[in-house]
Parts: sequence; C-alpha cells; structure tokens
Amino acid sequence: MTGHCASGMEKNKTLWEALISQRLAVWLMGLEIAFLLAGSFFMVQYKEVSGAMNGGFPLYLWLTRGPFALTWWLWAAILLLALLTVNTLCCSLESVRRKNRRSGLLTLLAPQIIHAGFLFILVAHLMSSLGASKYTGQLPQGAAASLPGFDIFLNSVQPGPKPAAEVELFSGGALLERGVLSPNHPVFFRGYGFYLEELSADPYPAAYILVSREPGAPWALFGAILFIAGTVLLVLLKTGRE
Amino acid sequence: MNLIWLAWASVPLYMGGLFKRRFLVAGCLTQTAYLLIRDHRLGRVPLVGPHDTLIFLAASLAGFSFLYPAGAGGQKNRERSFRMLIAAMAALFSFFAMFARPFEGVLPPVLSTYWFELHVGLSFFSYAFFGIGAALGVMYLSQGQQREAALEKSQYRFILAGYLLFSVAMIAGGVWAYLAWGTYWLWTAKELWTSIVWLYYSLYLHLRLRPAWHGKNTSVAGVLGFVLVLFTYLGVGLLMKSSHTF
Repeated sequence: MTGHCASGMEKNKTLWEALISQRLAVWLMGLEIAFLLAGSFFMVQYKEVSGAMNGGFPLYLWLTRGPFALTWWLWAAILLLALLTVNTLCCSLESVRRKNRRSGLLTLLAPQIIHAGFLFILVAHLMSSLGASKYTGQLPQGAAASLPGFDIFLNSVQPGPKPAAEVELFSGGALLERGVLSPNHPVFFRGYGFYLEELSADPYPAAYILVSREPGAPWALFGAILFIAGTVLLVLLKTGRE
Repeated sequence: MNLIWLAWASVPLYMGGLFKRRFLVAGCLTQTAYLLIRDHRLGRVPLVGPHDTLIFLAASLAGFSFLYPAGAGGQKNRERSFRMLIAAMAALFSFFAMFARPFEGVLPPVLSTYWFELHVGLSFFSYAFFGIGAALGVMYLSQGQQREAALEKSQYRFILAGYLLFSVAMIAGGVWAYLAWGTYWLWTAKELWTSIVWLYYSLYLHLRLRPAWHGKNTSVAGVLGFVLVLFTYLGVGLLMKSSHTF
C-alpha cells in the first residue's frame, strides 16, 4: 500500500516536472511555429477557404464546418496553445512556490506578469472566436436598418477627403445614441462597434457601414497592457544586471 | 527640389562605414535628414512602401548601433567587425530602397492615424534591434573556440529590447485594426508571420533561460531570427497579399 502510494506520488512528481519544464515550453513554441508556417501557406494556397476566416461569423464555425484537410493546422495550433497554457500556468505557479530561491520580488514578478498578459490575450482570442460577429451593408441617407435589439438610421453623409457619416441608434422609437462615423473613428454602443467602410454619392448618397461585435477586445487590451508592463520590467531588470 | 540624391548619398557613405566610423555616422545623419525633410513635405511620417521603410530600417540600424560600445576597453577588432556588419547591412538596405519608387501620394484615410505611425515605426525600430542582435551573434560565432560571453549577452540585451518594441508595435497594430476594421486580429498571411516572429523571439528568450543552451545555440537562434524578420517584412509582403498591402 505504502509502495503503491509512493509510486503514485513519484508519477505525479514526474508529471509536474514535465509540466513545469522549459524544455516543454520550447518544444511547444517550436511546434506552434511549424503549424503556423504551414497555415500561412495553406491560407495563400486556398484563398477561397481562408478568406472566410475573416467573415461575419465566429471563427469556430469556420473551424468546425471547413474541410479538415485545410483547417487541420489551426486545430493543431489550438491544441498546442492549450498545452502551452497549462505549461505557462504550471511554470508560473512553480516560480511563485520557489520564491525564496529567487533573487528579488520584481525578478519573480516580471515573467509572471508577462505570462498573465499572454494568457489574457489567449482568452480574448477564444472569446472572439466563439462570439464575434459582423454585419455589413449599404445604408442610403435617410434610411434605417434593423439590428438585434435596435435600429440604425443614417442621418447624413459627408463625402470628400475627410469622409464622415452621422448615424442614430433607436429602439422602439426612442433615440439611444447619436454619433459621427469616420475612418478610424467608430462609435461604440452596447458591445457593438459601428464603422464607416465607404461612402458613395451616386446614384444616391449612401454609406457602407460595418457593425462589429468583438467580445475579446477588452480582454486583449488588458492582456496587452500586462504583457508590456511585465516586459518593460524585465528589460529594466535585465539590462541593469546582465 | 528633388531630394533623392540625399537618399542615394547614404549608400556610398554606408560603404565608407566599412572602413571608418565617421562615414557610418554620416550615412545615418544623411538618411535621417532625408526622412525628416520628407516628413515635413508630406505632412506625415514617411513609412509607406519599401523605399521609405528600407531607408527607415537602415537609418534605425545605424542609429541604434551607436548604443553598443563595441570599441570599449580598446577592443579595436571588435569595433571594426561590428561596424562593418552594421555598415554592410545599412548599405544593402539603402541600395535596395533606391529601386522602389517613393510614395508621394495622399494616404488613404484609414492610414491617417497615429496608431499606424506607432505600429510601423516601432516595428522597424524593433527590426533594427533584431538586426543588431544578429550582427552580434555573427561576431560571437565567428570567434572560434575563444568566444567572448559578453557578445552573447549584448545580443540578448538587444533582442530583449527589440522584443519589447515589437510587442508594443503589434499591440498598436491591434488597436489600430480594431478602430479601423472592427477587429484586433485579421487572419492573413502577414499577421500569421508576424505572430511567428513574435513566437520565435519568445522561444529565443526561453532558450536563453537554460544555461545548457547559452552561447552558440542562442547566438545561432538570434541570427536566424533576423532572417525570419526579413522574410516577414519583404518576402511575405511581396509574395502574399494582406491587409498590409495598400
């Protein structure tokens, strides 16, 4: 019984050591690079399939409905990212557990902040892959279009070198939001972003409007801030010490 | 007045940098002046198309190379090797830049944003740091059995600084894409290759954590990284169309 227990503990220890190993991280990153390289060539070779990756529906639909012969590289990349996530979490936990052996708090914290940032960015991609949506279409000036929960009305368009379009959002006849769309200046409302894609004057003034929902965006930004904060800290520590 | 002669002048100046440091400095100053005058004339940072970006890369490479005190402690051979590698790369990039037509037109509205300038400017700054890291790696590897550990450490520092700039550039690109196209990530070959570069340098930084991989392995990885960077910048741009093609 004791021997069985000891053998189980030994197995757990070996598994933990494998999970916290930097060798594993290097292998996973190397393989991830290989699959992304393969993916980049598939994307160029089969544009009719890869073009839909940026379509109006969540990525998981592309992934689950697309031909496996062309999507396998992304499945493999996701599997490796999942393993890398486990490896990152375990490495961070182990580093914190062994904190007494490290030289200082900041030296301990910097890589963990970077790892946390990386994980938040992965969570953001996961959320967007499951819940992102896009609607795009032409809206003539003075016309409205229905969206889930509200209507969008194109009040006016301003063509020229600085194109802009004024839109109003309604629900049940009540004005919810009014804003001016121009390139790089969308209007955000209830998790949706409203973007001006193009203006046309002929045969009637109209705007091509994109309505986008990207649920991972705030998490990606949060992860990015953590990632940069950790990297800045690491650069300061390493350039001072190395 | 056509300024192109100023850009052309940097090529022989960088070639002179193979022999004297002052020519490397002169080449960098000439290109910086060229870029600043173009910035003033165009009313925007000149960062569109291979002409501007190659010159920007060459000037950044030469400019940031002055951060490395190659000749410190009377190390004349080290200073010469480092200067020659940097001058050769800067001359080559500047020479190729002259075969691309400078983009003088008005930018599409989607490019008229500080996020774009931050994204592209920092990307090329980071490429310059990776390039300097590669040069230091070549120097380290060419030393035979008696290699200087300090060279490998310097390579690591430049690559780490480049990694930070590259990460900020990618994030700025994500913010810009979100404001311009409603998504912070587009599935195109260029974005995928950019992720590959970022993952590759993440791998390099992890490789260096293990003492067994220090030295030759990490130096080789630092050199190969710059090859990957150049393919992502020039190869992918030429071979694969994406949101980065305007």
